[in-house]
Amino acid sequence: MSSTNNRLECGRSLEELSEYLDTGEISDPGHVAACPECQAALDSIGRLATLEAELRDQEITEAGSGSDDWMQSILNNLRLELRPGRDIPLQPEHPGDVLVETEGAILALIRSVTDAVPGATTGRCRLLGDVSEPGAAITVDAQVAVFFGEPIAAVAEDVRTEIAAVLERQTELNIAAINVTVVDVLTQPEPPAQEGNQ
Amino acid sequence: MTHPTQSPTDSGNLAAELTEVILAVDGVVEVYPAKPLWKTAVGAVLNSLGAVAEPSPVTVRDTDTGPEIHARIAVSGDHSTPDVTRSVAAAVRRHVEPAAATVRITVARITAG
Repeated sequence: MSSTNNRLECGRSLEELSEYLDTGEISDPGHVAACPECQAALDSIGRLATLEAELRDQEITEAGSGSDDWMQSILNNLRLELRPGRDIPLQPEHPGDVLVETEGAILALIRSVTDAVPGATTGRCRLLGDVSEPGAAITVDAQVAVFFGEPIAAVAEDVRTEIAAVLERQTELNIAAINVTVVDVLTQPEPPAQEGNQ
Repeated sequence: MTHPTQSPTDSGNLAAELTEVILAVDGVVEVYPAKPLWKTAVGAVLNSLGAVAEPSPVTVRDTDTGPEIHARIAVSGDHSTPDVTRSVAAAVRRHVEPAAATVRITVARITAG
């Protein structure tokens, strides 16, 4: 899994964290355990590594599917999405209290639910609008790849539905629109049990 | 405007207590350092030397109007994050009563439900 200039705000790189997943070794494991950005990155890299391994098993890269470019694009977006970003307010019960969610936490959550939709994997995700202003209209802009053979429109709708549900439950954002764009089609990994059946 | 004053011993004890209070709230899965050490110049030096001090998970500052308390948390996706966050703020406030605290809670991560 190659990457360049993929450092998080805390200074750790996606390469370092990827190696940590592979080997269990990193210079400062105490930091990783106490850093929400690193932990979110480990989640995302873990899912990405699984997908990448499945695709490589099928020699998709050699077949020229462009999955390497897709993976690099995801890594580039991950670095941006894993930053804490803007503060998203929650309504406090006590006047004067300040309760917020970080934009990075919400983007990581969206990525996790989108990746869990059968037939889809997340490319990038953005929250458009003034998320720091309570009640402001927010548009979610999600780009996904869909596996070949899956009904694209249905998968995109499932992604939209899952994003809407998780944001309704986990935020107080005023979601005006959720735009899901299918930007790539990847060959579907074969289930492990169907050996020899291409 | 208030002028914060540091009282390391008392604030340190309270911070440790509040960490336990926050972790006991249903839906909270982690309390992260509220003031990441690696964001300071000293932290960067310590990191490079491999000698990172243990940061306090919860920041407590004594002010003229009462303690200012800040915590960064992770919430389980099985729970409603807004509800859990309000519960954390209420639990912190109850713990420091009768002091009139100002509470800041930052949700830095929501785990997959």
